[in-house]
Amino acid sequence: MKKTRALIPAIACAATLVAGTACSSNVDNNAQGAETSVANVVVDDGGCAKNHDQIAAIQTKLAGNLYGIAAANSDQGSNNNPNPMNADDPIKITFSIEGLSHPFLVKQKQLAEEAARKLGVEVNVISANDDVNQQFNDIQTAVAQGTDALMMMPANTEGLNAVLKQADNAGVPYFFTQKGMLGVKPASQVLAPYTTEGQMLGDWVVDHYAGQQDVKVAVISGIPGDASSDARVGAFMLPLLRACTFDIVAEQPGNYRRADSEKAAQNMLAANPGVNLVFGANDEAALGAVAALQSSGRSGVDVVGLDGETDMFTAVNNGQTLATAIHKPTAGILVEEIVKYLRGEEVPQFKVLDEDLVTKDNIATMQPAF
Amino acid sequence: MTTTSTTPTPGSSKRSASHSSSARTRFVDGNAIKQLAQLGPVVALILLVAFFSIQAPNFISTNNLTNVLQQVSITAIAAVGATVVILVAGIDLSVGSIVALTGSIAALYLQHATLSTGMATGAAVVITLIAATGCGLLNGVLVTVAKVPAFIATLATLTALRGVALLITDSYPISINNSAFTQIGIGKVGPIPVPVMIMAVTFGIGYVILHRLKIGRRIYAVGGNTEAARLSGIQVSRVLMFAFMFAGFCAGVASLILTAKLSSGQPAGGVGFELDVIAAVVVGGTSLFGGRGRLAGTFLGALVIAVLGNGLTLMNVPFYWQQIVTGAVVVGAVVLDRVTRGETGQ
Repeated sequence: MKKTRALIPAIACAATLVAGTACSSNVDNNAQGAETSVANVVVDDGGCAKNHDQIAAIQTKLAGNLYGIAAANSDQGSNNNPNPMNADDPIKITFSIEGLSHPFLVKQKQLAEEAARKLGVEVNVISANDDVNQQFNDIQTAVAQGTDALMMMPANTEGLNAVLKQADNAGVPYFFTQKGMLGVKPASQVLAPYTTEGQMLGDWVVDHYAGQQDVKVAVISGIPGDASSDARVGAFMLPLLRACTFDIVAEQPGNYRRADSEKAAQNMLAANPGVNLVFGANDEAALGAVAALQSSGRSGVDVVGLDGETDMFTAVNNGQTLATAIHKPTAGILVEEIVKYLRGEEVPQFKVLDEDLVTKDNIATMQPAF
Repeated sequence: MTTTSTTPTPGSSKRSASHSSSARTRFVDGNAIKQLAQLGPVVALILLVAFFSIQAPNFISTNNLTNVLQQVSITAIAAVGATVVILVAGIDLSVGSIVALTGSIAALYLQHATLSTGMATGAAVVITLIAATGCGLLNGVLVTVAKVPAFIATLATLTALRGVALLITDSYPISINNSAFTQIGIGKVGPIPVPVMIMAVTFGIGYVILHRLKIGRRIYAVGGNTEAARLSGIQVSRVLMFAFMFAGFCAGVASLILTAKLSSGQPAGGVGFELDVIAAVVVGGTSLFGGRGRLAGTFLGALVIAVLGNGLTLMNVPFYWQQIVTGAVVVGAVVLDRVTRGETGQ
């Protein structure tokens, strides 16, 4: 077949696309850009000159990170509903969640439904199956159908701006639980303290190894490009780098999943025989590292993680891991905030909860997060 | 593998794959309604629409139906290319990765473009389509020159192209600040969303290729019986190459809409997209063994799946059940298709 024939549709379609865009470019032309402002970062290297550059890079990253910004702005500023509903109006909330493929996400769904039952409102949970496009469609459908408020745990920090504009135009307020997005203005958001918990664990690790030199650390990060993973890993590393007695010898992503993390841990442990501590960006990653250590018969390597899930509690009790932090699900609290907002009460723009660190010393008094 | 004892003369019948159905095709030729009714998905679609009109609040509203069409456009456009590949008895598993890669390329270009928004948009469209057709070319070369089976070749590019997408973006989503470009995904001309218009054009192109150009007959012939096609003088590898390039091109068009809609390049997006696309083609009645199938069926197949998702969401059906029901409907539609055709299956 002639090569030129193949080009005909290509050219035709390109022309149509360009024309279509040109015709429509004067319609609804108010898309606004994401305003990611990186504040002037004052680098604090804690007197450790050799790590100065690495610390500066992490601080810059965190300054533009949603969770870094959220933690810095918790409980500052508030929003009011311009058109409050009456106290006895029925309320219908649509909760678009990124997926239901992790116990934490299921817990979020349960908490939202529990809070709704308690407050006598209706909440309808829609899962996007870990796909931004699906979430876009879900929200579009919900707005067309009519809902009083959109509650979201977005699959990604980018991608939903256009559909949230549609929600705005339809007068539907939106809210974020746990994860948020840059460049949009939700009525309120209760975000996860990814930076706070990372830093808390980092500080604890520095204390734990006080007096030791050259502690070798391997890091299993979460999902590459994911803001929560950046926040946790960056905030965890800062105290270690500032202490100047730690050496981060390797970092590999484990996608927040146990099997992937186990593989990452195996590789890093094989390449770096002297590793003293493995940090997992969540408990699944930490438990993956535990599995890798067991299968290779290595001992004397410490493991820490974040989340406070049930399996991790068992591992801390068994001495397989040293510490974790309770990562509190926020969907229930956000449902309360949404109802308050819809009924005309003031709600905070940002809210970030405090975290509890869990170690062998206090585990008896703690409850797993999920 | 569907085999025939007769040598299919290119273009003699769209369904040269089996005696009974080619006889039926001849019988109903010229009778548009009967021909339409032959497409199983029509029945499935009518049943679904009737059911949701009664059960789902707001299902039959212009706003919702426009949304459904807009939402189905991305899958349907990629499915045009997939139909052609499946007609030549190939398969393209790399669609989702092509979408992720070319969307990332478009977004990176737009971030660095110094042209005016309109010109930059045009350039981004051209770059995306060339890149996507290039990915299709790569698949085609692997299949025809390196002689790797399509399933394995595109499984390899599924992984490799995703890797390239993550590499060039450092795996971060790339946001787009070009208001003209985003109109490709969310703009409307009058009441019609731009993606729906693009979908119509893509299906038009697909129709012309399959039913008005010589290459179309060759595609059906190669898919129906590769050996017979070769013996009758068709250069099979060129037909295969064309099919994969066209599939890449269509994936590029889908990628433009997705990237514009999400106003960002998503290097990690589109995972599992190839399965949605293949499901649409299969529900539409195209045989995975090649040589038999129609674009109209593909459109209806995509629509059945989209209407199902939309209706179940409107009915507040829990997500787990949605997945179970969708699986059941995919099987049901294929069985229905077979029954309405009067085939017994193999």
